Amino acid sequence: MKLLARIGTKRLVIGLVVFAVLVLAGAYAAWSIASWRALEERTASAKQASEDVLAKLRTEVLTVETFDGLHRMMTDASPGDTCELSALVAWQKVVPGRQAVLDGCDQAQALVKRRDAALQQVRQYVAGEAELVASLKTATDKLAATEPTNYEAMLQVWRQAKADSAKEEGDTGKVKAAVTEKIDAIIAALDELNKANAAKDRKAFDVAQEKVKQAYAALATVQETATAAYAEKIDALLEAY
Amino acid sequence: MKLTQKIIIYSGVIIAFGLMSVATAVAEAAKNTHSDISARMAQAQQLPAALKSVVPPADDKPQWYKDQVAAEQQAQAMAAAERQAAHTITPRAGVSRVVTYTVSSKGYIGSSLSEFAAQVNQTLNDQRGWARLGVTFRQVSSGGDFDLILSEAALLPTFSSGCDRDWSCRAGRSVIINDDRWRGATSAWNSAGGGIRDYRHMVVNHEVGHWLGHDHEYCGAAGAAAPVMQQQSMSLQGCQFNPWPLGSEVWSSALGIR
Repeated sequence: MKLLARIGTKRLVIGLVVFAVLVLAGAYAAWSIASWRALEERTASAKQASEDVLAKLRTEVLTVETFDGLHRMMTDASPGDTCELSALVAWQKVVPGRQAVLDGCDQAQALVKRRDAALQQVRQYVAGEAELVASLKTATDKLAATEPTNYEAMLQVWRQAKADSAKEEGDTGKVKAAVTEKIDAIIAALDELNKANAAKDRKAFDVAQEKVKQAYAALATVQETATAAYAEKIDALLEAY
Repeated sequence: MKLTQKIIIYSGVIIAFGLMSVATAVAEAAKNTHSDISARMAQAQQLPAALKSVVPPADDKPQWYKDQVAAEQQAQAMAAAERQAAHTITPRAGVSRVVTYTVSSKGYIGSSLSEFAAQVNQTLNDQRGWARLGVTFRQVSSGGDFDLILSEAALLPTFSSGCDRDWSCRAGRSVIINDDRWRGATSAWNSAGGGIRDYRHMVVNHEVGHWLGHDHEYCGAAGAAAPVMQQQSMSLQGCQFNPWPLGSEVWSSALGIR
């Protein structure tokens, strides 16, 4: 109490206030430095994620699961508005060099998002193709086990393949449309063959059998559409890089 | 020019050259990376292989079909034997006759009509063909014994309800060759390894054969030459393709030549 009396209450209060201001200023400075450093780290992390994805595209076996993993890498590196700063720190962009750090972060995040979107397009296409492949595989397996003159059974297999293909939910667009159209032609030709067989009409049978061959050959031509559509997605992804 | 200036200029050129080389190398590396990725991603595509694995059903015929063919072959063999027995076959050497025909086109055709006319005339007068009847085929501008028409495929049904846009046909005195088939034959013919010129011989001989009085024939035995009157455009039925009439086919009810 003597000491307090000697220093004086007024002086003590001033001293405490000065001390508190210094502590707060120090804390604010530390917080600012940490915020800007975190921003730089996020920029670096986004750039690194982009490069890592590129490297994995060169080395990984590419499946739907691989693409999902790459998507996670991208979203982990860019989880929303990571370049936002508190208004108490953001005003510091007026300091020379700070605005460039902020812009760099925005650009890196935008790039990651653009690349991720392109990657998702490829993923959706691959997923859609996988479903079409599965329905064709089921059909070919069943056809291999069907008697070569059991046209009714063949017809059922292709009708089921059409129904399965229609369920495809990926992003194969015109490829799916082309596959469906060609399967329709196979169904029509097999239906004609089946009817000619039932009627024992040899001329109609020969005509229908030729049509069946042509319809199968036409299905094979969808390869070109599929290759072109997939190449388009790959080009879009590489363009994003 | 002073030495210092020269050194500055040369250094500048060397530095510029160096920078250009580095830029080129970086661009090349990026291009290679993209090519690697592109190739690797293309390998991941499975649909083309799946589509390739879909093969048409085997060319098997149902039993009723085989029975019909066997019955017809038997009937033909019996008829041939009867003709032989009756000694009714006229010696070809004694026949001397000119058959005339006109050549025209109908609709839009992608082939050359003059080439068509020349090839048809060669086929008809080829000593492997209907010329073995002892006749000479001559193209005339009008009023021939029959009309040979190269027609747009879509217009085939306009000649007769029995004519199909997919094939050639004969309707009355009109012998109609389908322009699509003339240019590209058929998948059955092409997949059997037949050439386009042979297909053209075959289709002309087949359709003119109808005009000469022939109906359709069927494959006699697997591996044998197909009769020219067999519908080889649709299926070879196990026979070898053959553009020319077999010995047993060299007769014409229309010309009264047996």
